[in-house]
Amino acid sequence: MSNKKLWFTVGALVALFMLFAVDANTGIAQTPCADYISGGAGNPTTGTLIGSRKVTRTTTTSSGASAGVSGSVGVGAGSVAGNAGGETSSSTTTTEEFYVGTYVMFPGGDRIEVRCDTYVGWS
Amino acid sequence: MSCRSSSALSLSRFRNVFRAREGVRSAALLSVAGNLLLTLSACESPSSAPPAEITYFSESGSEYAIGPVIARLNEYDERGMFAAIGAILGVDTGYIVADGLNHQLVLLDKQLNPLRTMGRQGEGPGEYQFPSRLARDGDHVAVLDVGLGRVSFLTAGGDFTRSRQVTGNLRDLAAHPELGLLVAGDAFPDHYLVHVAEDGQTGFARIPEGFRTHSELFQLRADLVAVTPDGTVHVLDGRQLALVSYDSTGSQTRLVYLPEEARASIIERIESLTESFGGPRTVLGVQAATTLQSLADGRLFVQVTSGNAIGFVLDLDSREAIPITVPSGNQWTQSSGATTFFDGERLVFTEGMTGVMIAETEFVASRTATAAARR
Repeated sequence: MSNKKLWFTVGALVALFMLFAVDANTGIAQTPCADYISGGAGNPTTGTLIGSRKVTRTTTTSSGASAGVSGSVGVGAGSVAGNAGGETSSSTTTTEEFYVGTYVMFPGGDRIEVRCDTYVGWS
Repeated sequence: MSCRSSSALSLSRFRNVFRAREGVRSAALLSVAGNLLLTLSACESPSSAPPAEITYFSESGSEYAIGPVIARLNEYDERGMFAAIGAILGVDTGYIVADGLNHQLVLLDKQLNPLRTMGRQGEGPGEYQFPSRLARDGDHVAVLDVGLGRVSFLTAGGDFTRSRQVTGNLRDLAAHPELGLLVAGDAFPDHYLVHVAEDGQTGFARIPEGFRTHSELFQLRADLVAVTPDGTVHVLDGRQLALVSYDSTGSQTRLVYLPEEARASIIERIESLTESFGGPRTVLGVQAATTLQSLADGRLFVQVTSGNAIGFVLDLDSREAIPITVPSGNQWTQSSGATTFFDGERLVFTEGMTGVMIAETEFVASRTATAAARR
């Protein structure tokens, strides 16, 4: 391998390493939420994204029935916000994470919070 | 309290709540079911909450009319720098603006000239994910970052001093002169607020019985909080559209609904938005009342669109809600005023999500009020 090719390879590897290092440093995923949402045909209401957050939802299930729901938020927050359900003798706890986008609606200025992985836009 | 008397109390509350929801069919049906359950539960577990008189603010014939724009900063201006403005707060030097998509704050002077940009995306000190609410805390400014679940504190000049992690899904914040930081969130299911003290976090401002919800659906609360100069803590319940007030011990002292007609149409709008955008499993919350702010004279400003009003000034003594009305003409468009700050005279408001304007307001007394004053 010539010196030129060697330096090119080393340079490419360093650039790749730095790219991953930067990602690891920030540790914050970009939002998967749409920039805009629409009420669809015949509905003039549209929403503009003003921010998003990752929410962790914990569900406790007992004997096939949901016993409680709680949630927490934040990158690395790691907290549980309480439990709305009752105590159970045998229960299963499941946790899911998803992004919630906050949209300002026009007209009106209301703010709605939409689960970004289940929102289906109008096409 | 016996089972009999608590049931009677619950039925009385039920009737009041039902009256409050007249004209909103589905809400009323939910109210019937929810309050019957509460009536039954009252027999098993008597409430320690004091009975509260339930009434409405009356919409005033007077108004605050929004006047001409006196300062402007928008995306066409070379000073423009915003991606999505989520909150505005007045400070001694001007205004602080929270930008949720740029993950930063901007300090503007009183003519809206940018003075300083603070923060960037990240989790470290002075960094933000989704700064969405601002509040005065003595000489400092408290910034609620709902993306990181924490509150950061800045000097009035914008220097970061410290931050504090807060449990739960957070919505709004206020600083109390004695209690310290109060954050609206869902960490304590029976309380509106988290009281953040040096030695821990506790629930504060117990939710009135008839307003508690126990649903398997995961929903985010939409409550707002403000503290008036007398130390009273006020929560605007985002679902009930009622102002619930507490003293500094956390005891409920008042419960007043927003004006009846406005409230009914806003609840209808919330339901319509929820259905239009995917139902309650996708739409996790709708916030129609988006700002609750204490004014220097002890009144409150609530931002909520109703007819040609962008909000109301709530007089707690007279229980009067004075609308802040938008002007006719092209200065005010459908995209104006989604985020506002009102100091009792000047209204600072967004134009789209990337511009800011300031307009003076003029108090216009109703004819009856003017006639009474003359007498």
